[in-house]
Amino acid sequence: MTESSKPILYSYFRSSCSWRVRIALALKGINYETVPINLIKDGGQQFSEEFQTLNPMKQVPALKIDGITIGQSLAIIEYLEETRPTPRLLPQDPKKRASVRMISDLIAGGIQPLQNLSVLKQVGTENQLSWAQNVICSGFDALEQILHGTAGKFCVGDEVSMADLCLVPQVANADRFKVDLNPYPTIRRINKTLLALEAFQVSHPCRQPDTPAELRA
Amino acid sequence: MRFCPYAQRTLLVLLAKGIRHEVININLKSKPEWFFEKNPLGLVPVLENSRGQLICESVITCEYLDEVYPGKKLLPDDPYEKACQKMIFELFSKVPSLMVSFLRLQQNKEDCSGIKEELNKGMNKLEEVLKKKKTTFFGGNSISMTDYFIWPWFERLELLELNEWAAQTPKLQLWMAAMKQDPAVKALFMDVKHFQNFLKLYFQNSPEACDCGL
Repeated sequence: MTESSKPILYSYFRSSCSWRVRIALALKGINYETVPINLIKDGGQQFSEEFQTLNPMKQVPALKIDGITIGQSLAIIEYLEETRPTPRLLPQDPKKRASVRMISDLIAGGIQPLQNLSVLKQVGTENQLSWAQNVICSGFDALEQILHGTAGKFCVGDEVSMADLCLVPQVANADRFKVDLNPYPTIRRINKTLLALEAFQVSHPCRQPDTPAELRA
Repeated sequence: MRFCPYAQRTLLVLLAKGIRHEVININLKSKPEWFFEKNPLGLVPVLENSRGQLICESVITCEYLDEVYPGKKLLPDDPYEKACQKMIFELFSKVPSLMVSFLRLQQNKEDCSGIKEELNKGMNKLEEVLKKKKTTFFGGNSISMTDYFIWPWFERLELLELNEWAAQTPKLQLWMAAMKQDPAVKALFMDVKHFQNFLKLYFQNSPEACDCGL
């Protein structure tokens, strides 16, 4: 089997989970190719036989790297962390690392899946907005409180971590679902600080190869 | 431009922080029209980010890069330490114009002793800083922003052999030796012959100057 020299990321411009991985790749200076998977067109390109073979979960992101294919954004990010250790995305201190994982899981396991495309389809168009808003507010209520204890400049202390990679895309989702972010000043502050960083801009949904013209920056 | 000390500052920071970047060299003796859209003053360096935002002035580009790229921080967070770095930079501030004056005088075969005197004074001030700090680099025991800001001129002063001050500045000599071990500094070393040819052609306003060594 020949290994391609550049990693391949299967991504959708607006997928918050894909954005997490795009940020990690940008922070670690990893050059990669994007294969866009449109989650809406053609009934959802993630359901194609070809993509199912690649990722049986039929979700983005998936990353083909070093001869293997990895699904699940946090698993991808931890693989990148272990194989391309600088700059760090997980603190050395175990307690801080636990905080980073807790926040990442809160978002990636406790908020986003409850408001993702397949769930919203089940919920139905009438109830979609209020469902998504409830899910996000519940999660952000908890997150805001947790951040009071863990945050410095960023989610955990003063170094960018995996938690921050989860935060920014989730705030973008909150914006899309018109969630009022006034009750979450810490989340807002950290989000603003992070968006000033180049890695969060270059990976932004408005700058991807599959970003539609009307949404392009 | 491959021989510009100001652009070298930005390149040093890009390398030191491991930031992926593309370099477009500008022929400063024959500037393309489109470059004035990037900087109306037509000067290098200009930094363009992923959003197409343009940042000019070498010091400003370096501070910007340190802020928007995490990883190794070149500027200290502590306000006092940051102020110390800026004060050292102020001490150095006359060196670039002294070097240009020297080159002009040398071209015209005029007397450079006044310039050399000024330069010696400036270098002694920097020597005092290192003596007082008792650290290898100007920001402490690891390399930081001020070291990168002032290095391009030290590299050139040595290549020009404009270094009478070297005999009285042992700490500065140690600093230079330590700088030469830094990977970013090493990656950007100029070839002495190419540099000398560049200077000759540059002062003749030759459009070939910037391409020396290619």
